[in-house]
Amino acid sequence: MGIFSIVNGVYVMAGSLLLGALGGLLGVFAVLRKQGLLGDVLSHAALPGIVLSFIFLGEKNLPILILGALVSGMISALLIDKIVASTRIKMDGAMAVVLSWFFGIGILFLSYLKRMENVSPSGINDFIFGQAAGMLQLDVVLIGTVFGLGVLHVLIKWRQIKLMIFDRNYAHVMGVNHRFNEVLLTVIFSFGIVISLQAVGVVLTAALFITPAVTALFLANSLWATVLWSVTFGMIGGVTGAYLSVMYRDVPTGASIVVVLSLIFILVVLFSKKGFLMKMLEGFRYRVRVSYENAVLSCYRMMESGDCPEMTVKKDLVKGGVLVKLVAWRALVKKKLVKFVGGQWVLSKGGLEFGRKLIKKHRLWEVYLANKLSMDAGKVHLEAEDMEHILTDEMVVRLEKMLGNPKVDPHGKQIIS
Amino acid sequence: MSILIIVFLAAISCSLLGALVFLRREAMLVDAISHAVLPGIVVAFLIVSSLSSPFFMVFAFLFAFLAVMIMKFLATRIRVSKESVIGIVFTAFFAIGVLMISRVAGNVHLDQDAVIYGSVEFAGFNRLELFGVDLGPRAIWSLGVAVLLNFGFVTLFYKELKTMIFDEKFAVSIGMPVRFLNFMILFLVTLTAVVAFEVMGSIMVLGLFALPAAGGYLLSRSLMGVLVYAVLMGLVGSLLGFWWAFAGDLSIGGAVITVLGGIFVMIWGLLRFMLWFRKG
Repeated sequence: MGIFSIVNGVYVMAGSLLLGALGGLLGVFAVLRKQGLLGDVLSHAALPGIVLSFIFLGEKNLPILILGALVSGMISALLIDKIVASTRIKMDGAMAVVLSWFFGIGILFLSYLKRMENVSPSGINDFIFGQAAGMLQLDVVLIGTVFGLGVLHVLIKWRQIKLMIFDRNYAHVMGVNHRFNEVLLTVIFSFGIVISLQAVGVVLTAALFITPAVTALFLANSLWATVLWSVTFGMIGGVTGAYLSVMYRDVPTGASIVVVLSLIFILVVLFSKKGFLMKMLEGFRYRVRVSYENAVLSCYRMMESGDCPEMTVKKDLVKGGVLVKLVAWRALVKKKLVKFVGGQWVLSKGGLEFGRKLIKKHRLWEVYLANKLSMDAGKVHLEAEDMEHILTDEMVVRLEKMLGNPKVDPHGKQIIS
Repeated sequence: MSILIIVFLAAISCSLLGALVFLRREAMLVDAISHAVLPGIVVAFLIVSSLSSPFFMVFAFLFAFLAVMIMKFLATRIRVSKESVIGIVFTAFFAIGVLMISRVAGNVHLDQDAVIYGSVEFAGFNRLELFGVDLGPRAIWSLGVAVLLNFGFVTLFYKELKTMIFDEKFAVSIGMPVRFLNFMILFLVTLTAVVAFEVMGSIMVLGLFALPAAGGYLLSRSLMGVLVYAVLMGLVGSLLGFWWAFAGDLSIGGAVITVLGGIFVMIWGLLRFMLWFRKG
């Protein structure tokens, strides 16, 4: 059974796609303005408005419901503002107070509604738990309109919004009417939240506006790229989640969309170029390189001082953690820095050359520290221990030139050019 | 009658702890925890298929702890505000919980409605039986334990908690067991949220934590004052709410929270009025 064999399958898919895009777009600005959880408050605070319009109308009339939700959401936002402005209670406390209070009122109204005889409250559960499967053409048009408004606002006011996010005071000085822009952005944001409730549900709507945005912020470097990524992630999450929930009838849409969005977040945070695993891998690679370079260096030094003229490389020259040692030794063999001759490992010709290059970096840096930075000759060795792994060939050439082709290091050891 | 006792116990346990959490500016963390325990509850349910097991608590706590650890980890690694990190983590946990419920709905007597609305109305029928002896509603026992634990914790560590709320770094520097206390607060918040969640629903639990604490915070500047006022407000609110719900056949949780919010707004307005009056 394909998804499009369901009567409203097209609307469900289109609506979820637009919903994801909407959340992605508005979420970026909400998260950057530290209003991520405001979405959570607004979605919970919409409940009394929804239930009240149900009570008065006695039936499900989408535009009126959304209006009710919007009004009670707005009142909650104003109340938070007032509490923060006039008491010692801070933002998070005010949010917790208003969120739970409004939701409690909503539940109270709901219990009243359930007792009324001529009203069926079945549509309300959709708002609390989310059910995209019931999406109709009207929903899609509404979501599309809000998304269009959002895109329009962002495009027209791009410069002002960017300035406002970057530095409110600066934006003010620059003559940007940030109050107007902020209010407009918040109004569109509330619209977006309210319109998502039906598909995603009260608890999980916030995720639609937070998760893709944070994922994109982790990945991208400019605001443009962030917005584009965020919208993309939102759309993928929306469509995939909605598809799963329609295919497996008993899976609520909100939950499946949010699970998909969270999976994208986890993947990006772990495996993207800036991801934690990639960072760890990078660090590991560096430790491996330091480890085998040090092994070559100590072998070279022993040869130079005549302790070990046959250049034997024992495995215990390779230092570091178990895994680092293992990989570093493999690197030595693979890069042909060592070779197996007469029953033992010795430094190859390439290894010898490599060691010479490294020792040159080390000693040049020592000279630089001692002569140019006037550091104590006794201290320079330790500093050079790190730098020998970082200096590039080009830097060596320039360093040598600047130092006037020195022949010995501060300890009197030879520098071979 | 037993329902009123259950509501009272929930109010006391939540408002005591709520005051601490509120003063530490971690009110939204309670929201996050009360949602993040959901997958734990479902897993425990799948294993023991009954709510009357300590198992249930262990799993809930494991998941809450996991969520808080992930939040802490992400907060240091990702350059977005702390609240966005909270938002990501708890919604992910809750969504997984909802998915699990929906996939196993046939076998488990646990549905979404109960998660959101709670069911204090039926808590009286859910009785604790030990060796065949009926010991009364189970919620009274579990919430009673929560009250005792929270009360014991606050009285035992009052001085430490006071110092810690005022300045955590200072508390560390004079050798107070701050890590242990943080762990205990997290543990007790989870325990209380899970026990109260069963009767109040996951969102109204937040109200029991935050509303009395906010009222107490407006009325007093000392920790003791906030604690006392919070508990008082919790009790008054739950009594009035219970009475209202009983008289009007409404949702008890909804009525209690609505009344508590009303009391908060009244305190707020009264203080504003007094300020205005004094200024002339």
